[in-house]
Amino acid sequence: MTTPDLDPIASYKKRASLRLVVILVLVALAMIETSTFLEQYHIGRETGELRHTRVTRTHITIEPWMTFNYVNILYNLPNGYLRDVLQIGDLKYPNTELRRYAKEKNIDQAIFIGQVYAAIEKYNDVAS
Amino acid sequence: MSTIVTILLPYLLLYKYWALFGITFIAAFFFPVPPGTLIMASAAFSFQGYFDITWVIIVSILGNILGDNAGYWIARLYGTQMLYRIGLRKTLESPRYQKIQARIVRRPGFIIFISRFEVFTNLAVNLISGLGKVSYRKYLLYESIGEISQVLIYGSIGYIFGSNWQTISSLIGRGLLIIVIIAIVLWLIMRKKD
Repeated sequence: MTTPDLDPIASYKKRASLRLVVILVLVALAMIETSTFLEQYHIGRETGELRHTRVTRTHITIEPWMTFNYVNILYNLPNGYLRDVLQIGDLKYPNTELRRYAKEKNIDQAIFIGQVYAAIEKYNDVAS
Repeated sequence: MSTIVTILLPYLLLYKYWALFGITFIAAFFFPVPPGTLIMASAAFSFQGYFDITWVIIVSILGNILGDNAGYWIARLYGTQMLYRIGLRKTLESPRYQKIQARIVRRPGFIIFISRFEVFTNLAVNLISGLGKVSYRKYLLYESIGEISQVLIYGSIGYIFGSNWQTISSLIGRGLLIIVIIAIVLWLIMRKKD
């Protein structure tokens, strides 16, 4: 079934104005993204995050998606250290995500990550 | 960092190369997860001593190439019937689609190569190449070159920037988005002039 033809000029004008709206929205989006990009770039340069990191272990932020095994490797910890200090009874340790463990134990993620940091600091203090 | 990346990262840490292969395969085959970010993350994990960079590169290239080929062959063998069945007959028969397909079939090299760098275009070009029955030899050649380049670029960035990969990945993602938006705007303006 075909739709009846509209006035070609009216149809063209309608399409042209729609295209203009799309172009304006895209330009606005590009401007927002460029501004965020530059801001992020500036912060990255200030904090040194845009440089190649030679010394890794002291700069890494622990995040909820990380596993205990990964944290052990990053911070050069003995395999069972975090399990003993934080009294982790999970059978899957060290192959468990921090966020999953915190959720299972009903601990706030941020608080749990704070405990992990404290344990690492304690280990480093003893080691040095 | 996008939600899907934070969901996938633990799998990468737990199942290592198997997860990397699975993710790159699925991303090239049918589901638009961002493989570049995850390749970058894997390369950064290699820098930290968790992965081996050689295996990261080999596994990512294999996953991407096999995923692309699966997409291409399924589209080539069953694509038309499947798309007709789900009601896309009009799209497939539209002059605009025919024009895009004809362009890709006529000169597939550059389009296949460049589309490897963006997950949505990768999936779309695999589908169109299969539907349009682009010569398999040509397809394999250009998609392999594209995938190898893509993996080497993202892998090198991840490995060079090491633990700062998240900042770099976010900047690259945003930069690519800006380029895509500008390209669309230019295309719309040029079309208007035509």
